[in-house]
Amino acid sequence: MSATLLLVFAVLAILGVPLSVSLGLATVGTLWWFDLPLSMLTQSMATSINSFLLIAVPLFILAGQIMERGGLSERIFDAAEAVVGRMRGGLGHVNIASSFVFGGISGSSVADIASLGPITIRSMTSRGYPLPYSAALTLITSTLATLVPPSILIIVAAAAAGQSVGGALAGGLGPGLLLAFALAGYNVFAARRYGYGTLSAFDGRRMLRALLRAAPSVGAPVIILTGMFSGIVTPTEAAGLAVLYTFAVAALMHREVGWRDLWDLTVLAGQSAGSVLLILMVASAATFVFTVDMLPQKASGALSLLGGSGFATLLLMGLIFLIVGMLMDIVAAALMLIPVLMPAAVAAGVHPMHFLIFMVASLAVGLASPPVGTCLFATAYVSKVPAEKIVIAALPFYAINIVVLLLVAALPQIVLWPMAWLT
Amino acid sequence: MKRIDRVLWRIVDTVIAVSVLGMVMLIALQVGSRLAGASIAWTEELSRLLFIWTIWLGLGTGFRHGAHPSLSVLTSLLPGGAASALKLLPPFAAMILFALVAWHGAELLRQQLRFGEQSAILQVGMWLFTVPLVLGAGLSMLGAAVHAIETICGKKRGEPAQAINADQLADRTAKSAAPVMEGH
Repeated sequence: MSATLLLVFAVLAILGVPLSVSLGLATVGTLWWFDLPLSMLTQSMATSINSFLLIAVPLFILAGQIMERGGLSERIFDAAEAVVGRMRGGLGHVNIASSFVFGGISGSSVADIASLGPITIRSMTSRGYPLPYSAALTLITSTLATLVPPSILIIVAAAAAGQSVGGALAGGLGPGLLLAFALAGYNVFAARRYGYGTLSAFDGRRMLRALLRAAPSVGAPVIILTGMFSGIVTPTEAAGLAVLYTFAVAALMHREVGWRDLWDLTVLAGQSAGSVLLILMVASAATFVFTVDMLPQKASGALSLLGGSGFATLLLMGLIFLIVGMLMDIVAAALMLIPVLMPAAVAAGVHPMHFLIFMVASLAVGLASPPVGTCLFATAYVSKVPAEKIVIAALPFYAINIVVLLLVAALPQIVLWPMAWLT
Repeated sequence: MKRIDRVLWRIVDTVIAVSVLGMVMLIALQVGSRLAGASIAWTEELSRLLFIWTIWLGLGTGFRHGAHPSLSVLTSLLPGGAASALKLLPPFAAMILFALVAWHGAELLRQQLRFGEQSAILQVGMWLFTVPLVLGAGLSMLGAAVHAIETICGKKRGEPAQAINADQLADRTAKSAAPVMEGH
């Protein structure tokens, strides 16, 4: 039954049918073929989005859009440059730091490239960094937004897995920080070895000015995350406050966003959230088929035959995540893989949150890799560097990403400690 | 026809914008009232209702603009004529799926109206939560059909359903509007 569903889904997806529609039709076809009630599709779709938690998705998307249009990204970049820009490999660090902070509001990797990409790439190349290196670093740092709270993918995945959204968001912070520091380490090495980047003199006054100018922008993720993790507000409420805060800064302080812009951006956010959550809706119907077919139990059984530990199980699954993430939209991938593989991982002794975050971190690599990496093509566009050149320049970064994934798989504390501390 | 199309989607956009802004206001009210020690319970349910309207209408506009993620591997490999023919499949598939969703949604709606089901807190008819499903499914069918016609006539407003639509991204980047199509 599950095999029929997956086969029909794969055929339709390859033929260019939207992933959500492919999954929906594959589910309908399977329900019909195996004489199951077709009304399950609509019922599952209706109930899966009747959730207060998921309201965070359109609102964080909207906050990210306001942030980008309202000049907050630019100020975050300026502040990061003022603080770490004069160090060896400084602008590379600026790239990493600003993506980390930007991800702390928008939760979207493509938004990161669209917003920060042109600024970071231009600044890095003007200071002596090779264009392919600048583009490759921008590409990889954009995936940080998928790990750092409030990652949209983590919110959707945690809601689909029935896990605490706040806990999962906190869990993403550990791998996000690890990846950021690993990239910064390689950046210092590359800057020293190949002489990338020109050093600039320390200018205290300029630094103070940039920091003051960026304080409200940099303050946004701090306020949002503090509110969320201190328990004062829920993730959904934090998303609503993020919209109000970013709009207040962009409209009242920067005067770069008006009511008309807000109107347009809300429509865009609604449309974007509709696309993301349609996948969630049809995936919940597909989950019904998987459950009836006892696919999770079958997957657990197959994995237990291999007799591996939790780490070995995660490694095997990591391989699946990397391949699937490279081939399809990662939201759809996550929502299809959770019901099938999470029970197997838990049966092998893996903490559900460890599984979720490891899966997200692995799928995020797919965003930056060929053949369908959304961020790869977005970076190619904004940098005007062919995608294949970026891929070659990004090879060391892919390797770093893999090492980070291995560490996350081996050390659940990377996920579980931030979760325990922050929630 | 063009005028009807423009007016219809403008109305849909307006409902989406009002719903999203409504959610923000309700959430602010929820937080404010709780911090003031006088929690308002209905804000949660009303936000959920607005959210459901936002998502169903939002996905409808997504079909109108060909914005739902898909793979373009095969269409990019095929020669012009075959690729053009294949472009008709996504809207056709969407129409079949949403016809089924609308049909069963209408069934659900009829049941809710017949039994007078009410929501837990606001005590409003549950049909208010199901109407957007039927409406969104209908709009998705219509949006997919109109988008297909535009594509055939060569008046496309966006590439039909691509997962990695760099041009769409670029277009939006130029306008400084984030294309958060992937939500991750």
